[in-house]
Amino acid sequence: MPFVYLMRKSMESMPTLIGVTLLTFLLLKMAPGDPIYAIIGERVSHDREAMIREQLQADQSAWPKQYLKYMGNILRGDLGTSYITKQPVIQGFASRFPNTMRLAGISIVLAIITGIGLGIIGTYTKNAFFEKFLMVLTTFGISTPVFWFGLFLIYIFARVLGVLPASGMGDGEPAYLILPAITLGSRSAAYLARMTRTSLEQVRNARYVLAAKARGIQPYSLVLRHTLKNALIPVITLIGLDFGSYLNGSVLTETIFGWNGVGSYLVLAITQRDYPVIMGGVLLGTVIFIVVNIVMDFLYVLVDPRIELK
Amino acid sequence: MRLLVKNFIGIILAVSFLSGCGYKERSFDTLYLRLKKDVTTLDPAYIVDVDGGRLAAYLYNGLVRLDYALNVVSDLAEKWEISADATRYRFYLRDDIVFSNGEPCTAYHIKKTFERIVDPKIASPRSWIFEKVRGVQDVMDGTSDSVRGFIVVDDHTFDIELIEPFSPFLSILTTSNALVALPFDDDKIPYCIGTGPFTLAKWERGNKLLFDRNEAYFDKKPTIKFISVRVIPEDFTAITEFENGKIDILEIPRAEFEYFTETSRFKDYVHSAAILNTYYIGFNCQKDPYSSEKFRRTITSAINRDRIATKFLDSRVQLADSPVPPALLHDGITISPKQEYNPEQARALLNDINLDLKNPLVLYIRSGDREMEGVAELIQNDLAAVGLNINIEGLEWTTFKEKIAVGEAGMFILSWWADYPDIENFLFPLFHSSNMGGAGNRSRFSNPDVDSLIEQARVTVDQHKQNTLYQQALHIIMTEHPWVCLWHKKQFTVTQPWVRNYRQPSVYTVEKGTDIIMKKGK
Amino acid sequence: MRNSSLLYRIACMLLLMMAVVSLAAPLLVPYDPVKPDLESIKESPSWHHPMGTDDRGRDILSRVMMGGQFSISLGIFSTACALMLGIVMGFLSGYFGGWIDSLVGLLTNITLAFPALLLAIALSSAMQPGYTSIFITLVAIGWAGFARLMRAETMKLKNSPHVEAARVLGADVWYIFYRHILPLCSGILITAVTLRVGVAILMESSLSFLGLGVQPPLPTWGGMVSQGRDFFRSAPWMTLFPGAVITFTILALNIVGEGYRSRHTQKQS
Repeated sequence: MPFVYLMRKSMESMPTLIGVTLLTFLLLKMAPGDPIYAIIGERVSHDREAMIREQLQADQSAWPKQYLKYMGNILRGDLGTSYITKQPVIQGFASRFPNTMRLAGISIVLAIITGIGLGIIGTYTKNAFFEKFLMVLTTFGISTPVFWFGLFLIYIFARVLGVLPASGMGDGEPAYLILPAITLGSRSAAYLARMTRTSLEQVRNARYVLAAKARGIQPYSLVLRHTLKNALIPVITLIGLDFGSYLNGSVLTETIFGWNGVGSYLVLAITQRDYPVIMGGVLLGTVIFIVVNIVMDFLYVLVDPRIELK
Repeated sequence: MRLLVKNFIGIILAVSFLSGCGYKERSFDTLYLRLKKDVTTLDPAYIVDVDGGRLAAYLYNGLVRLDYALNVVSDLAEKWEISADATRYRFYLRDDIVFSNGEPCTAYHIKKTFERIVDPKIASPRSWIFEKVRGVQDVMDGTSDSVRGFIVVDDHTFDIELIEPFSPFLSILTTSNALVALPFDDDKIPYCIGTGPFTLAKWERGNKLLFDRNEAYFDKKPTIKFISVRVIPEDFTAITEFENGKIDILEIPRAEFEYFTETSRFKDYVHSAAILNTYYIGFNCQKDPYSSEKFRRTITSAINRDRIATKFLDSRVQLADSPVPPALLHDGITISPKQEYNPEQARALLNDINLDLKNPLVLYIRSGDREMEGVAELIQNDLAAVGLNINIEGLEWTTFKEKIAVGEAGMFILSWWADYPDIENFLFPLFHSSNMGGAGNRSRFSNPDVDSLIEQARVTVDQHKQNTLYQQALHIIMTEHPWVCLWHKKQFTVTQPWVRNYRQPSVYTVEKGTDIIMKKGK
Repeated sequence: MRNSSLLYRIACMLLLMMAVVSLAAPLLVPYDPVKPDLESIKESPSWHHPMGTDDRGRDILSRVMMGGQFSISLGIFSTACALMLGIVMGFLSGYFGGWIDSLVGLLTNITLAFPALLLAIALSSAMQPGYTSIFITLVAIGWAGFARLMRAETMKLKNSPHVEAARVLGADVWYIFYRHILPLCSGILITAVTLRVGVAILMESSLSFLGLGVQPPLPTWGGMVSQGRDFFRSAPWMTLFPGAVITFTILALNIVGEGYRSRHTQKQS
């Protein structure tokens, strides 16, 4: 019963949602730095400063009350407005989330193709040297600071070769996606390649695979249908985790490539102490985390019928 | 192995070719600019940052404005008169001005705009620009709805009445906050309707802004049709975009200063201007051990500004003799005493003082500002050389500003940028004791003589008398050392060869985009 | 398999060398890694300065050596703390189940869903920003992964015959934990640890990129890469060398981890 399962799973996630928002709320109450300093600039008269401060702290009730009020507003679909830009928080995220989604989607697809591809090649290649080389190559993806790799790509492809745009999103042309997606996806690709190999190696000599081989099934079909499918569970877990984190925005890649995503929006809000935006971002991130987990559960079932939705 | 790498590059090339061959050709109707970070608002009532002010200049006009030589010249008002007692200003407006929505701009709009700045409901942080106008206090207190000192004489005549003479007032009218604007009914819209040479066509928050030429502009019309401003946070990326011809005017990032000024391809297109700003080390004059003038003097004389400026900052700065940029010192104001580097004296003073420190002293800087980080390290090094060990602490902007505003930070590096080109802007907010904290006086300097000198100078219209007063105030400030005045930073920009007639302004409100011509080839 | 062990050995050697050089850095550095020298700004690599100098005239080699102390120790200690926290939580959760499992599960989920940067910024503004604040951040976000891993392993092992036997014989929980369960998970944990140390080192560089790194003038690898990035064009050595050191260190860590894992699984099967 997928629907019942979905309902139950969402109910079970509520404590996480409440925990994260509550923790953020408390953290913001305690951390120094007042949003007023981002609003008033360098010169303001004392009485105006007091007035603006009063407006910001209009709600003088105790924090549990404030928190409940905030959560109540959220249930009504009101995330508040930014202290700094006065823009509704929902709008701020709604305009950026599609960008993040696009980048995350392409990055993960890129990572899946190269990661699983390299993983398979690595497992089945006969050449020991080539195998090692592949391993080192994939490990490079997890060994370099992201921004460093990104700058390097910009220098090579946008400056020296001049074939790709260095930054921005253009009017949605795919060319603008390539470098950020490679930068972002390389780390996942490396992990995926590794996980695929580990997982494949455990399955490749399992009895049912050997049996299939004995029955004379085509090598391609053997790898894809019989072996890979059974090795997929840990790989899916990894894809889910990475995709979830990409959907939360990736401030470094976004900064380097001038990509207008939710990651840099949230970080800017944090540095300006723009509480409504921070809370909105944290909420969005938690919901994504929960949704991705549920989707992964469904995928497990699709891949391996032995697993049931409990 | 090579093969694989080649294949990898090959694949990327192929994909990029397939995906629409990179990107569109650029248009020469459009001027492309870069922002490091999106502006928070373009509503004149709320603008507090330089970038916001720079873009607002495209959208709006003030009663008066500045020219490149920083003279106050006519804008919406074609001429103005000041009464003999210097408390009543009369502005004669041009009668051909319309807002971009077609509504004619009259004295009534100007009154409305100015009242918005002081309106408690709007809560503009810049209410101080009109604090000397008669009746403003009543509106701020909520006892009156209308400012008595903003007087609509007729459709095209507007009077401002001050409670007392106020020498920088005309200059203040050139700030971004005094721009005339027609707000939308929806207060969530972060910009207004203006009369300026451009209109805001599109604003994709966090990404880009697009300005269209205003065909009904009353003054010299721009030749460029559009201005496209893109947010590119990373300097390296912005440089690459410039080199690829995707940005037309770029403020040169510090790291590549040599690259642009020495490469033959660029060096003829580098512009520079002395900007009205002052970088300084501020001491919290009410916190031990910085409360001792002698200790402040010790630090001042231990720092070798000249060496830092020439070696580390590539002479992109002009050493500061006083808090006031030289362009604002009227003839006849001389600075004494001068700040001097004298490590022997510093060492001797330090021995005298007998510091008893439980914790090492801390120099606060804004984290992430990598140039300031270097400056702080060099200062740390200079101080260590005379026997004073300090720590550096980088804080992110909001925390940094809070720590200073509430008086927790004892020593910090900060800068002050002019809002309007008047010497008063570098003295009253920064050193008058009524402005302690967030109002500008971050060094918590308090000296009754300085207070009264500045107060007198502000109401003195006679230039000669005013000069004498300011000179005396500066003399006390220079002997008391609330600051180590570091330098005035020059700004360098580089333009593409096809951008003609661009001039780098020294105040950001000057450039309205009307002079620039875009032309390829010789 | 000879080839593999060669790579494995090279990686081990490299790590060992890094550790020794970093530990002995104060004795070995040819120049003062902290003191600026305005007479030798942005010098390209030469015999005197094999990795060149930075924009304050400091020898990059010396800073890289000294930076190793901070970066490696940050990586190792934060991972060690996260590991300890993680395995204890994971074990309790997997072994006892019930409300403990729910509670730990909730904490893990909260940690994984919480934006790490918010924590980093909050910590760096609430306490003195620097080594300690980064360290706490790394531990606070790192333990959850270990806890999940340990929980899964414990669940798998707790019903295995040898654990049952120990329980019947009256062994207490902690005895079972460190005699019967921990040794069997050590393989997979060691792999996870080597990966995590790498992640921690990279995390430090990301924090430096955002201006939340250790305080100047102390060098860290991440800080150097991030600071040198402005000079990518005119003085590439400022960022290339520290970047390469990070890459090779993590590469070596990964190879060692991978090698260890494959040996371990071979033994098991």
